[in-house]
Amino acid sequence: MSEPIVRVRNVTKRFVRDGFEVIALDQVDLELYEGDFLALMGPSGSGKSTLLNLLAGIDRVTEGEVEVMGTQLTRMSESQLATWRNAHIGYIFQTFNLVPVLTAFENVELPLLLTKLSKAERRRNVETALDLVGLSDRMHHQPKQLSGGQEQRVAIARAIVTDPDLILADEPTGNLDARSGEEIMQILSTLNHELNKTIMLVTHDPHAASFAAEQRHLEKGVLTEVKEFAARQHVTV
Amino acid sequence: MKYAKLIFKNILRNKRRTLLTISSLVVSLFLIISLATILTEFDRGTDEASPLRLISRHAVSLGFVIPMAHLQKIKTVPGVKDAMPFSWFGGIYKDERNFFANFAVDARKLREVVPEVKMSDADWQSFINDRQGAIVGQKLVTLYGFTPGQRVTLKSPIYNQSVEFIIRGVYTGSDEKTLYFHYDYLNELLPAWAKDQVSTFSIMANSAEDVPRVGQAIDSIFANSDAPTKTESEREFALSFQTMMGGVKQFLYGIMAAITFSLLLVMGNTMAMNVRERTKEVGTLKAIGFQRGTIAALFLGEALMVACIGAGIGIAAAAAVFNAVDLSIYIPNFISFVPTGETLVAAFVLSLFVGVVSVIYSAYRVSGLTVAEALRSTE
Repeated sequence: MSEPIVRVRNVTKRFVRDGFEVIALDQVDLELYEGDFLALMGPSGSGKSTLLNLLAGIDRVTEGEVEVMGTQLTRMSESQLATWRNAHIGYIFQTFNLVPVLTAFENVELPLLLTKLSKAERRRNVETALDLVGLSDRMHHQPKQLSGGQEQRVAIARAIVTDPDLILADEPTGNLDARSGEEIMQILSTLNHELNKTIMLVTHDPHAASFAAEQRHLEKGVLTEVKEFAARQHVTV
Repeated sequence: MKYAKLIFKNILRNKRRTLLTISSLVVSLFLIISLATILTEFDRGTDEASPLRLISRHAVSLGFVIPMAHLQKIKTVPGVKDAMPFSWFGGIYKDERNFFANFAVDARKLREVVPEVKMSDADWQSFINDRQGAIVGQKLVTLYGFTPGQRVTLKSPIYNQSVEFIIRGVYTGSDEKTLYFHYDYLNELLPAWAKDQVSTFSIMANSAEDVPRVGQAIDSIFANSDAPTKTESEREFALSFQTMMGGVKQFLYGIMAAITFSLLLVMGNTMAMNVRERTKEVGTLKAIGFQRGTIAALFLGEALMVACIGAGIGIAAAAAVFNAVDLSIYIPNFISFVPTGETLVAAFVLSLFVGVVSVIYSAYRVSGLTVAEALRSTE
């Protein structure tokens, strides 16, 4: 069996809120392999997003180790983490977080500005990413000219444009209506099924979670049950 | 350069705010350039003083006159190339508001002693040949419409005497707001108590090295006379006027500093709002992989772009307005009112400085937030 691309060992995350110590994650262990599609579920405050942030290197563990693509994130500086994120992680936010003054094309191009790609190469990659999410005809529209679902598709294109090893999606359907949410989950499924992208999804929505190959639950910072689906029944090939 | 588009689009994010900020920069820079030009004019007398010329006056003050007879002795001092009376008449043209300098000189010597005064040979000859003749600077022509052959009457409150002159030429040169006329003609008309007196002599030395020695020599000749002299280089003479302006200059510098400070506050507040409102966006950029330095540089770039646009418009407006309308015509003692290249460059540098200082703290603070802190922002 191949090596896991994500290895979380005995991770605890504590922080102080209003003078009280809160345990967000309590000795969590997790492994993800290339091509996995994991949905992480649980009630609000259970630590789902915290775990996602630790995998993205945008938050720090209190105890334990996080290793992604063979890199120990706990030992990296903020600056090293930023560079590493750009190369390996595609992050999708619940609230899309697009830059409002930029067009869809320019938003998707943002992560590529940090690379050494030429302008022509950047253009090619951006067009490919927008094509994958079905927004080739909207590339010169600003976010305010797009629907919520289209905005999230632009955000997905931004997350995949660097061809990351791991896609992390934090409640990607949380701000969308049912139909748009369905479209977004279809895209994620396609990315996983056709392009073998490793995806970790945080969601409250059981329907969204059902697109994943595997579900796990977090309760008060403790990772509990595993639920595996025999087949990716929603994937449209 | 790949970030230029991002920076440009960000400054257009809140167009009204950017427009107001740029407007405040334009107005402030216009004012600062105007004040700096006034200060430049204050210094012009010393900067443009001839290194070869000396001015000799009464040792007590300019309010005392010295006898014309001194001139012959002055001419004998080794190192003196030439000398002539350069006597303040203080004549007023029609109305007290029409103030301009007018000096009684030796018309035959003026061209040698004050070579900055440029005029055609024919006009020089016409002026020299007519004892009642006078020449005027181009700016006086612009201001009062003087024409060659016109009779002009000046009334001097010093001598309580009206004197009529005939314009014989229009000169150009560093000072174009003076009327020169024949000392001999004036001397004829003056009452007995005022005859054969001058306020100053203008003396041309053979070389700049001779100037200090010539001054001392002249003063030593008249040290024990009824009218002792104080002879100094033209630059020192101009400096003595500047000393009187000292307080005004400090006041103008104070106003310039106050404008700069208020501009800093305006821009600082704008940039702080701009940065604070985008805290969450900073979190997104960091999550994408942007480094702290890159994010800070983007904000700095925005401030510099705003500063450059404001400076460009302010400087261009000041240069255009002051080149189109020569305000020196209307301001006594000002030879020119056009901002120098140094003033414009200094205004541009000041604008960049304000741009950098206005954003540096906000950019440093927000770019230093962790991704999680920035994303949690509710601004």
